[in-house]
Amino acid sequence: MLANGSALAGARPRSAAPDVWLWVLLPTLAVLGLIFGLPLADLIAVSVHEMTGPAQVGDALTLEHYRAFVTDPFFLVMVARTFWLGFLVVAFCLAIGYPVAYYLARTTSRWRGMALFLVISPLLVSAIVRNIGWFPILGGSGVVNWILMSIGLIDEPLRLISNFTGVVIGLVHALLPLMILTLTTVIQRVEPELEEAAANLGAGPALVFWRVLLPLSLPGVVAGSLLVFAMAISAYTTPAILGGNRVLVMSTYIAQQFRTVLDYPAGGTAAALLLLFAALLTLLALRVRTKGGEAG
Amino acid sequence: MIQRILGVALAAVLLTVGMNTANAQSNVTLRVACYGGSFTASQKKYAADLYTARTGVKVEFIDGNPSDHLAKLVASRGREAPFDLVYLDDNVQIAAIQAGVLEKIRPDDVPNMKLLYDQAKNKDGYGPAMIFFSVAIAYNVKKFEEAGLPAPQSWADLWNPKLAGHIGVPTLDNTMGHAFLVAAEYLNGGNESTPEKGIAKIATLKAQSYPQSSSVVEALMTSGDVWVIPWMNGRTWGLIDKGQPLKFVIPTDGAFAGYTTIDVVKGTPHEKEALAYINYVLDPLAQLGQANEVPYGPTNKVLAPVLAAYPKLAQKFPSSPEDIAKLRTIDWVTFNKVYPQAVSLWNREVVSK
Repeated sequence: MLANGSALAGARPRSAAPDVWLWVLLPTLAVLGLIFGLPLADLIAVSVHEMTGPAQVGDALTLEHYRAFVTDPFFLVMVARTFWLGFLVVAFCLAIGYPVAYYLARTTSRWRGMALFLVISPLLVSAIVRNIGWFPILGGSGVVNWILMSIGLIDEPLRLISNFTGVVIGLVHALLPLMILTLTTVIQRVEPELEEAAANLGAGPALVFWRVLLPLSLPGVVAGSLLVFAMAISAYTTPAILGGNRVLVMSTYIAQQFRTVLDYPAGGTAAALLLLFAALLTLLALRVRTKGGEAG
Repeated sequence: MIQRILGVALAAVLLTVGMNTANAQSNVTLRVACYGGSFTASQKKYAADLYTARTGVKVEFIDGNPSDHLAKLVASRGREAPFDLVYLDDNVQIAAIQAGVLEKIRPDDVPNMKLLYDQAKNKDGYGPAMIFFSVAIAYNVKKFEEAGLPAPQSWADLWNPKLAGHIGVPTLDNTMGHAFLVAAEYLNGGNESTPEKGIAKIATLKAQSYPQSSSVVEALMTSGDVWVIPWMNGRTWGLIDKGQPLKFVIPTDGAFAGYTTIDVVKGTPHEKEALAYINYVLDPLAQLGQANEVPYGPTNKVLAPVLAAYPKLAQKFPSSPEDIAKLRTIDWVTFNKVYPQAVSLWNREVVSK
């Protein structure tokens, strides 16, 4: 398989003995374990205890929070909403990002640097500023509605903020750079000669894309999608601000339980389940990727 | 004007400090949990710096969200306290008292406590309120005129059907949200113990959104998406002073009192110094300086006549004994007891609609 050793696993060694790389990774793993693994373990530990008061956790063990969560349709709908959000954001990022990544990978224009800078520019702005910056653009009397109404496409302003639509727009904007950068790296490794050969053999552009480019760049598509999906389902600022607190997803619910209700076990339960679901989905996607790779 | 007086007073006090107690020395550093931003800056300028100059005790501010401070205090119970003093929101203070992480204060140890309004004193002997603010109605005068709407006069006026889609409702996460829930509870024949009545009432509003922070409210008010929202005096006046066409109205059925408290943390090794610091926070100069920089009302009643002489400043917060007496107070103990239930109802009946 040509495009293996992809951006997904920059860690996959090409030549050196694996145990050398393990030693190199060790300090990183130790630090991650300390600052990431330990608090997570604590979070999960909290979720199997009783809440005895605001910000207080008792000693008795219980699985009641998990039972309450998975047997309540309200929470299941919230989980579904969270994943639907992640799925939509990934779909839009792919649709918008792929052509841009292809251009960036193939162009020799002197504007390439400028284009790359434009692509990563959303990452340079703080999340709060980036989100609030959308208000004058997407608001009822914002630029988008003004244009649409001026050209007579709509009579009433569209609701583009303080709802689910606003959250999708905000997250696509914020996460698009990650998708584009991941795809660009992988597309660059696909030899342009392969596309030319396919074209010479009579394949149209659509067929070249479908039969040559897409399969070869699939590792990038999977990697970018996983990255964007994981960021989208765990994003807090954008759902909170552009959703106008009307869009309850896992992250906003977890924040609410921890920061205002001070019900740590309930928040910990939701956090642990989010982690579990996300891990399962990632494993699934990786399996699909491996299979797709073998078939290609 | 008051700015200049404050400047001169501060300079004079610091000068006398320099002459009398130039050799005040101490190895103690007080760790004070505060909110951050302009609030911490004004507390530092008018209370902490003066305190350090006079006593030699250094003050280190640890900024954060009140519920995060509470979380740290609870997590460290039985071990060394993470702070010596903590500034908290009214309802968070109640939770902290119940969690047993705060120390009671004897009024004799903090002489300025005698000068406080009764409403500022904690009935159970914990830390006092160091500022008052009010939660009332902020609205866009221009938008109301364009729509031919009369100015809102009472809480019930917010249920005017013409405001559907244009009213912002503060989310249940903050003091404004808590106060508005209580307002709705009473409008629907209930009280702090019946969140279901308030939630049902709020659910009938067609809210544009449920903002949590002042920066979002500012953006929504500026873009014209939100015409009216229950909000606090200080932040609303910040927008009015920036030239926004807003007004802050006290409803006829009463604005709600909000306050920020200051407490000594249980287990601090520096209780004496902490009590002395609180006395500085409640001192008239610090209180006036605070009110001038961030428009929240002093809880020291000595300042009432001074503020009466500066109506331009005084209109921005509850400043007279009459204003303060008229504020509606919330039974936080009852409110907190049913709060998880209120949030659950809010998630199901308001947000998910």
